[in-house]
Amino acid sequence: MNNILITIKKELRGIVRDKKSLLMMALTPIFIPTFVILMSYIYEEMTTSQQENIYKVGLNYELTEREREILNKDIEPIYYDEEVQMKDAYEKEEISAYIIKEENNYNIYANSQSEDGSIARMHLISYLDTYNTYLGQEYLLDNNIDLNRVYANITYQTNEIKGESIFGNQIILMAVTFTIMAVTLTAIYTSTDTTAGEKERGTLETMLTFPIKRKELILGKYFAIVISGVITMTIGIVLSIFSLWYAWNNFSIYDGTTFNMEILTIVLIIVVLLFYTLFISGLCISIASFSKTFKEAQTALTPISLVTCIPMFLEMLSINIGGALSFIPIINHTIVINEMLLGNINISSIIITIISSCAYIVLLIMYIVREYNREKILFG
Amino acid sequence: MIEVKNISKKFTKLVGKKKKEEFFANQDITFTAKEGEIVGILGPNGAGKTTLLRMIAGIMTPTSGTIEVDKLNYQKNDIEIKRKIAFLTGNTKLYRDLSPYELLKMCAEYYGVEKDLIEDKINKLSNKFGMNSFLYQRIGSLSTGQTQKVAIARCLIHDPKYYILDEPTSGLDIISSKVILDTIKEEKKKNKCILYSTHYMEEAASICDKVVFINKGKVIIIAKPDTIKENTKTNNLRDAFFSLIEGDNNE
Repeated sequence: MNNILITIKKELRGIVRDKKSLLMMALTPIFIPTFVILMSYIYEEMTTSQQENIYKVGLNYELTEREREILNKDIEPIYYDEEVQMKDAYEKEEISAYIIKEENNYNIYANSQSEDGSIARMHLISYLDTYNTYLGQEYLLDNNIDLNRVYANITYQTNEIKGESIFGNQIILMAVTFTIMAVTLTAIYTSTDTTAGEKERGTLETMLTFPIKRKELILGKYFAIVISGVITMTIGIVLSIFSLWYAWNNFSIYDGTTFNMEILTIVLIIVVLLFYTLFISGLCISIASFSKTFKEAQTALTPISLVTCIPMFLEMLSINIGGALSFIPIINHTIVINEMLLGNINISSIIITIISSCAYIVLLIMYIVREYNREKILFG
Repeated sequence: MIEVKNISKKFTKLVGKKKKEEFFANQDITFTAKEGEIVGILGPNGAGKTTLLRMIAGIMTPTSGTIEVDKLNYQKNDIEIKRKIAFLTGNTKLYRDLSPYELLKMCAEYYGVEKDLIEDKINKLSNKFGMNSFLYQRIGSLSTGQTQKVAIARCLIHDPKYYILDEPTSGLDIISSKVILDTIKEEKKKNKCILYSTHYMEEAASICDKVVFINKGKVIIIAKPDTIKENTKTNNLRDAFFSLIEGDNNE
C-alpha cells in the first residue's frame, strides 16, 4: 500500500509539473462555460432572427388593398415591370421568391430547399389560398348565399403548449458530453505520459529496480490517472452547472426546459462521473501500456476521444438508449447524466451504469496487472 | 553472495517480414560474486551483458537457471532481494521533473529507509558528491556530470549490499568517471559486492578482482585479470579479450 502511495505521489508530481498535462487537466473544462454561453447566444439569435425576418418577394403585378391586408407582415412585396428584372433580382439574392401573374394564374418561384425560400414560399401559398377564399366569399355574397353554411361548418383554434426546448436540451447534452470529453482527454494524456512516456524517457527501467511489485507500480499509476481525472471532473461539473444555471436564467431558449440542480441529482452525477473516470482511466492505461512511445500511444488513444461524441449524436437522433446499449460504457454514462440534469432520475439505469462500470473496471485492472508482468509490455 | 547458476535467456526476433526466430541472449551462464569483490562483466556489444545484469537485478526473468542472492531467489523473495541491490546503467534516465532532493527522498521511501534517517542521508550524500548547489533544481536542467552524480547518490541512499553497474562510466568525461570509480572502490572497502560491466579494459583491470568474459551470450572465461593475461600470454586485458574472442570464434 505504501509503495502505491509513493507511486501516486511521484506520478502526480510529474503530471502537475508538466505544463501540457496541467493544461489538459485544468484548462479543457474551461471551454465548457464558453461553449454553453456561446451556443445559448447563437441559438437565441437564431430563434429571434427567425421571428423577426422580413422576406422580400418579387411581383409583376400591383397588389390590391385587400391583398396587402392578407399578405403576411413578414413579406415585403417589391414590384417589377419586367420578368427579367425579377429573375435578375432573385439571382442577386435581393428577393427570396417571386410570383409571375398571367391573368388569373399565379406562378410562385422559390427554392424550397433554402431556409428563406421555403418560408417565403409558405407565406405566398398562404396568401394566395386566403385571397382565393376571399374572392369566393365575395362571389357568394353577391349571390346572397349564407357564408356560414359554406365556410363555418367547423371551428378550430391552436393553443401553444409549453414543452421541452430542443435548443436548451441540446446545450445541456453538449455540456455533459464536454465534461465527459474533458475527463477522457485528461485520462488519455496522463496515461500516455505515465506509461508510454516513461518507457520513452527510459525511467521505467529505473522504476523496475525498486523493491516494488509490478502490481503496485501499475496501480499507483492507475490511481494517479484517476485522481487527475477527478480533478478535471470536479472543475467540469462546477463550470457546467454554473454556466448552465446562468444560461438557463438569461436565455429564452431554455423556456420550458427542466434543469434539475437538486443536491441529490448533483451527488448522483458525481457518482456516475466518478465511475466513468475509473473506467476510462483503466481503458486508457491498458491501451497506452502497449505503446513504446508517447506518439504511438497518442495515436492509439485518439479514437476514444471521438467515441465520447457518439452518445450525443444518438440522443440528438432520438435513438432509444435501452436494452443492450445501456450496458455500453460512455454511452450509458452520458445519457444517464443528461437525463438526470433534465429531471429524469431513472434509478434502474443508474444502477445498470454503475454495476456495468464496476465490472469493466475490475476486468481492466486485472488485465493490466497481468500484462504489466510481461517483459514484452515493459521492454517491447 | 550472488550465485548465478546455469541461466539462459531466450528472445524472439523478427527475421524478414513475418518469420520469427528464437535466439539466446544468454546461455548457461554460471558464476558467483562474493562480498568485498568487484566482478567485471566484459564482452563486446551484443554479447548479452545488459540482459545478464538485468536478470540479476530482477528486471528480467531468466528462461532457465536460477539466481540466488544471499540464498534468496526472485520467485519467492523478489522484494527482499531488490532491497539489497542498487542498479545503475550508463544511460540511466532520471525523472526530469523532480529535483535531486525529491528523487533521493522518493528512492529512500521505496527502499523503506526509516523516515527519521532520510534527511540525514540526503544531506550526507549531497555533501559527498557536491550536490548542494543543485539539490533543489529540476534534474532536467542539470549537466550530464551533475545528473550522473544524482544517479550514483540514488544508488547509495539505501546503503545496498550489492551494486549492479552496467557501463556506468560510458560517455562520461574523466572527472565524472573518477567520481564513479572512487565510489566503487570505497564501497568495496565496506565489503560490498559489485558487478561491473564496462567497455574500458584498463578500467576493469584496475578495479576488478575477477572478470567474466562473455561472447555471443556464453561465458568464455572467469578468472582474475592477471590470470587471464598469463593464460593468454598478453600484457593487457584488451589483447587478452581479442585473443579469447578469436579462439571462441574459431571454435
